[in-house]
Amino acid sequence: MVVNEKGKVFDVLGGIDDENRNIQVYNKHGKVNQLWDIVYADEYPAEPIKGELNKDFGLYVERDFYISTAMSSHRYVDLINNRNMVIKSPNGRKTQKWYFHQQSLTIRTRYNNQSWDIKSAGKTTNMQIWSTNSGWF
Amino acid sequence: MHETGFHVNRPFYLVSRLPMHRVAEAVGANNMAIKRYRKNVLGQQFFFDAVSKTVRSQQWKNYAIEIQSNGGSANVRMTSTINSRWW
Repeated sequence: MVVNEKGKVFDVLGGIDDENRNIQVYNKHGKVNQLWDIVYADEYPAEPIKGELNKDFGLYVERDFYISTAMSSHRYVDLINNRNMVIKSPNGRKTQKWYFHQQSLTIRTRYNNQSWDIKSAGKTTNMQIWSTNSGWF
Repeated sequence: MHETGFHVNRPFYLVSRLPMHRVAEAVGANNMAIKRYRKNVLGQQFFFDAVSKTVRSQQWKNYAIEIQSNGGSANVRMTSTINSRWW
C-alpha cells in the first residue's frame, strides 16, 4: 500500500480496472484496488515478445490457437457475419484462429485483428469482436 | 531511505495489483490515473525527492503528488509545489 501520514491510501476508484481509471485516496480496506508494487524502472521486467509466454495471462504472444468447446461436438469458436461469436465445426478459416496480442493484452482474431469484446461496452452478455480498446478486461 | 521505503532519486513505476497490472500515470502534469505500461514513457515514472520528501514525476520534475484541496478532497493529483503534504 501507499499510505500517507494520516492513514489514507492510494486507491483505484471503485476498484474498476479500466484504462485511465482515476486514482484517489481512501480509507484503508486492503482490497486489491489498494495494493501496489513499486517497481524501479531499471528493474521493470521486459515484456514477452512474439512466441514467448505471457505468464500473467498464460498465453503465448501472437501464437495462433483454436478454442474448442468441451461439449460433445468439440466445435470451435468462430464468427458469424464476421462479428458475433458462435461455435462452428472446424473449417480452416481465419475466423476460427485467435492469438494473444501483447500490446493491448487482448485476444484477437486472425480475420481482421479485432479483439474480443462484450457487446454494448460490457452491458450485455453477448460476445463479439470489436476494435481494440482495452475494455474487455 | 528507511523512513519512507523509497530509494532517493531512483525512478520507479507504481504498479497496480488489479488484473491488468496497469501503472499510475501523471496525465498532463495534473491528474493521476492507471494506464497500460508503455516503455520509457516518463509520465509513468516517479521518484522520491529526499529534500522535499515528496514523490515527483520523472517527466515534470517540479510536480509532486498531493491530495487535492490541501487534503480536503479524495482526489490525487500532481501539483507544482515543494509544499506537498502527501507525505
